[in-house]
Formats: sequence, structure tokens, C-alpha cells
Amino acid sequence: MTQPTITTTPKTEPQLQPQSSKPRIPQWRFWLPLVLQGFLILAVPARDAHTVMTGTPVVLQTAPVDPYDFLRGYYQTLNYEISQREVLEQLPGGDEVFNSLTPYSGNSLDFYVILEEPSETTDPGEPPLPWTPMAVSSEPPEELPTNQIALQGQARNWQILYGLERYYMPEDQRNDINNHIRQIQMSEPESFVVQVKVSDRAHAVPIRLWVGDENYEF
Amino acid sequence: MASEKFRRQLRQESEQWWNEGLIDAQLYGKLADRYEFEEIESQARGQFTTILISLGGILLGLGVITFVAANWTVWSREVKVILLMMTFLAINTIGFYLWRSPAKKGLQKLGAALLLLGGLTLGANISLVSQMFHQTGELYQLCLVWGFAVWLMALSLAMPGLSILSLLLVGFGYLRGTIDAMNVSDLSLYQLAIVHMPLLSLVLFLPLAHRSRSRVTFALGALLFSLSFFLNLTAIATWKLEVAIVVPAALLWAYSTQSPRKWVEPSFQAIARNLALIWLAVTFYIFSFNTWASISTIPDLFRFSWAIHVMADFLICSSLAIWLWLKLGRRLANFSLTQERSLNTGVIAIMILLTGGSLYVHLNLTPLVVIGPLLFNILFFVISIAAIRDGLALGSRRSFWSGMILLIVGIMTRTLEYNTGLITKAIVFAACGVGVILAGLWFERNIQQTKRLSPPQLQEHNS
Repeated sequence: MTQPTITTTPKTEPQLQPQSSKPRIPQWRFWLPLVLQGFLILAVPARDAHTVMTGTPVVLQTAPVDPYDFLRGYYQTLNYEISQREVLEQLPGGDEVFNSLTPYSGNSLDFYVILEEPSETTDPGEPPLPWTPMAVSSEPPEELPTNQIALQGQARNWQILYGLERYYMPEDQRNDINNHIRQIQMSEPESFVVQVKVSDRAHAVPIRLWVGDENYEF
Repeated sequence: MASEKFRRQLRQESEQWWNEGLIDAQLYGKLADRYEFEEIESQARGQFTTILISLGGILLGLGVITFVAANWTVWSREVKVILLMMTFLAINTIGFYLWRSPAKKGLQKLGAALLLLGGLTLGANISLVSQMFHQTGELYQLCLVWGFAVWLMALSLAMPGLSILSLLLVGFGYLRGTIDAMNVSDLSLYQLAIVHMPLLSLVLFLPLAHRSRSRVTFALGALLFSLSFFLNLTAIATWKLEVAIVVPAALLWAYSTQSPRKWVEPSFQAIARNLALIWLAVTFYIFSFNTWASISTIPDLFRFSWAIHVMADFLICSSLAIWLWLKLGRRLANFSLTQERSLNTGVIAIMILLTGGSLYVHLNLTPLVVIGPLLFNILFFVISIAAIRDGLALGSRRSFWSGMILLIVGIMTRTLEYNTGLITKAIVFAACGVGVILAGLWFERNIQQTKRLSPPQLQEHNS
């Protein structure tokens, strides 16, 4: 009988100590991306914040919303008079802009609506009077009188969007506000208006809802 | 370090050995040193503390969230922004320093978890800040911005968890965004990201997967690349279907064969090749149905406004694939059909050429109503049988069973697709069942033997 020969001597010395943990990561590897992330968070609303601070207050007339599409999640879906294509097409320049948008080209196009300030003002506490749409153009207008302002919109397929279509509101007041809006839209739809701020580059941010005599700002 | 359970058992056993005189005190001391017997108890205490701390942390977090939710509407915008940024900073900073600390493993894990939570808080921050100004943004835009922001941190810290989070966010954003991007003529920044997703996924996630050594990130990134390349060419641009199908498989198969040394991670190559095989198998399966060939194809609807963007990605990815294959081609000189591995580069090259060629002929020259489905059926069965064969030859259980499943699915589908009689169906089903059982039993009995006998070089990939 032969003894089995054991040839399993390890090539290296056995390691008695567990290997020391990886070298520490330098701190800048954490702080640099963190600062960049912080900038990114602030960059998201930067343009809107600028518009809220420096923009011109404008009042827009709403249009009835499909009651089933009334509310999605935490926001109120808003629909404006100038979100209706028929309204825009009747304005000067409207036909021209919208004729270039055929359902076959699918697609989207940017345009500008020129709004004019109402000549009368209402008492404080009453819903302000909405601005009137005057014209539509596909290029940003050069010179406008002081009582007019341009608002940028986008026609996409059959929708017309201004980036003003959502108004977020707190959960506990949502139902009350919705009921109020529904009542007003049935009795006197013209007194549901939205106050927005429009920047000199035609970008807009919603500020406040006026439902009858009540106003809501969140 | 071995698990705590093992160390406890080892301590018990080695004490016994010592008592029985099998080992001496010196050896016991070495074992005790190596497996840190002293610290087993204190670590158990430490774990208990960690559980308590995390439980407390969760409750504290819930309390803070509820408090914030209760007062959210009362606070002004400035307060909200400051509060959000503070939370975000605090979670990340505490997480980083715990994660980096040389202290206990448990604390490091807590730190990693906090950093991941920080990544999630980032998304909450972006969406809340955007809600404060009532922005009408789409969900996919949030996901893309958020995914990119998480990517920054993941790359810098080389953390697998954050890498996967970032990839999932960008992937989800991409899939949601394609629908949106199909409808526009002017591309915004977000839509540009979607149109260039194939390149972006290569540039962003390949280095990330390598840096964080995360196989999941690599696999998901490769999947995102393949899907985005395919979808961008087919759904958005409706153009060059054959290239859209062939290039991802070709690129994945040739991946890393000749890349610079430091980029090669052997496990990544295996993942890439498996993905390429899955991609091909799915393609063959879909095209093995009889009906597709008779459907008249829509003429190329190349959206002109997009031409340059889609074209750029298309050209870069295709030339990358061709370049990798040219390098791979030098190895093809010693190609023979009787290699140990039947799913080798030569066979894959033939499959890719046949797929691309037949689809090109079908789409551009003459419809292959009969030959097309027949060819893809043959390819499908070849790939499944080759996988079974490789499983047998290399003793690889996964390969064997994947091939088996493909084969059964193929036979079943054909039996159901063509209007065969019930008797035929019954016979086919029964035969499949018996076949699977017999093959499985035989394979499982022989796999141990094969593994023992097979020389080690057989296990390696050979081209």
C-alpha cells in the first residue's frame, strides 16, 4: 500500500489577517456630484422662478373642462379659451399658422398669441377681467404696445398647450375647490379665470385661480 | 469574511478539536485570529443595535414625513425649498460618511442604504420643486433628469446600488418618452436624449458598469442599448429594420473581445454574449411565425427632421460593430465547424448574416413569403439544438436547459400554429414531455461525469 502523496502546499504564505479594507474614497468624490445634483434641483424651476419674479401679471379666461378629465392626481387640469383651436383660427394670422399643421405631418409647432389688457379694471375682491387674444403668429412679435403681451404656445397633434395646464393643490382642499369650480362653470363660466405671469420671452407660469369671488393661490 | 453562523460553528468545533488534542493551542489561536472569534458576540450585539437604529430611523423618518405633509401647504415656497435641500443634503452627507467610515460592516451598509435613499430623495426634490411652480412636465422628463443626476453620484462613488437606480430611471424615462418623441417635429433637450439613447447608453452606462463592477448594471445597460437602438430605428424613424435587428446582436457578441485590457471584465463578456444569444433566439422565434412575411410592409417613413440624429447613432453603432467584427475576424482564420463549442463566433456570424440578408431581400427586393419563415424556423432550431449540445459538451446546466426550453417552445408553437389534428397535437405534446424527462434525467446523471472529465480549457470561450 502506498501512501497518497499530498502536494497541496500553497504557493504563498497563508494570510492570517483579513485584507485591510479598500483605500478610503477622497471626499471630493462625494461633494462634487452632490453640488452638481443641487444645481440640477435648482435649475429645474429657475426659469419659472425668474418669470414669477419679473413677469407681467396676465389674466386668462378658462374654458369648460371635460368633467371626467377634471382631476388627475394632485392637480387640477386647466383648459383656456385660447386652448381651443377654433378660437385661435379666427384671430388674425391664425389660419396661416394652423394650416401648416396637418394631421399627416403629425408633429408639433410653436406659435405666439398676442393678448391685450382689458381697458377697465374691477374692484379688489372681484375676479379680474381676462385679457383678450388679438392675433396669432408663428414668430415672436418684435414690437408690441405696452398694453399687449405675447404668450408662447405649442400645437401638438390636436392639443394646444401653454405649459399652464396643471394647477397643483393640497389634498384636503381639492374636493371643495373642485365642487366650487363645477358650480361656477355651470352658472357663470366667465368668472373662472386664472392669473398667470408672463415673462418677456413669452413664457408663462400660473399663479392664482379665481373662482367667482374666491381666489386660491398655492 | 465567512458568515457568522459558520464562525460560531467553527469556534465550537475548534474548541472541541483542541480539547481532543487534534490541534494545538497555537493553531487554535491562529484560527481564532483569522475568524475573529472574539468579535462574534460584539458583532451580534452590533447587529442588534443596527436593527434598533434602523427601526428608530424609519419611525423618525415617518414622523418627519407626516409633519412635513401636515404643514406643507402652510409654508411658503422659500421655506419649502430650504427644507427640501436640507433633507437632501443631510441624508446624503450622513450616508456618505457612514459608508466611508472604516467602522463596522453594519454601519457601512446603513450608509450605503442612506446614499440610495438620498438618490430617491433627489427625485422627490426635483418633482416637488417643479410642482411648486405648477410645471406641466411629463413623467419621462423627470425620470431622465433624475436618472442623470443619480448617474453623477453613482459614477463618482462607484456604487452598484446607485448605478442600477440610475439605469432603471433612464430606461423607464426612455420607454415612456419614445411615445412623446414620436409626435414632435422640433426636438427639445429631452427628446434629443431619447433619440440619442443608443449612444448615451454606451457613453453613460458602460463606464459606470465597469467602474462599479456591477454585472446587473452592465446587463441592464446592454439591454437598454439594444432596445433603444431597435426602437429608435423601427418605431420612431421606421427605417432599416434589418439593421435595427442585427446590429445589437452583432455588437453584443463582439463586445470586449479586443478592447483595451483595463476595460475587459471577463464576466461582462459572458453576459454580453448571452444577451446576444437571447436577442437572436427571440428574433428567430418571432420571425418563425408564418404570418409576418405576407403582411405588406410600410414603405420607409423616414422623418426628415430627425434624419441627422438617428443617422448619427446608426452610423456610429454600426461602424463600431463592424470594427469589432473585423478585429474578431482575424481569429476566424482557425474556425472549423467541429469545435467543442457549437455556438461560436463563426456560427453566430453566419446567423447574423442570414438574418440581415434575408430581411434585406424581403424588405427591399422580393417578399420571401415561404423561404423567410422556413429559414427562421431552421435558425431557431439550430440555435436551440446548439445550446443543448454545448450544454452537454461543456457540462453547463444553464445552456442545456435553455436550449431544451427553446426546442420545446419551438415545437409546441409550430404544432399549435399549423392546423394539425388533435391526435398529432397529443402525440407531439406527449413526445415532448417524455423527451424532456428522459433528456433531463440523462443529463443530470451525466453532468457530474462530464464536468470531471472535461479539460479546463473546454470551459473557456473559444472563438
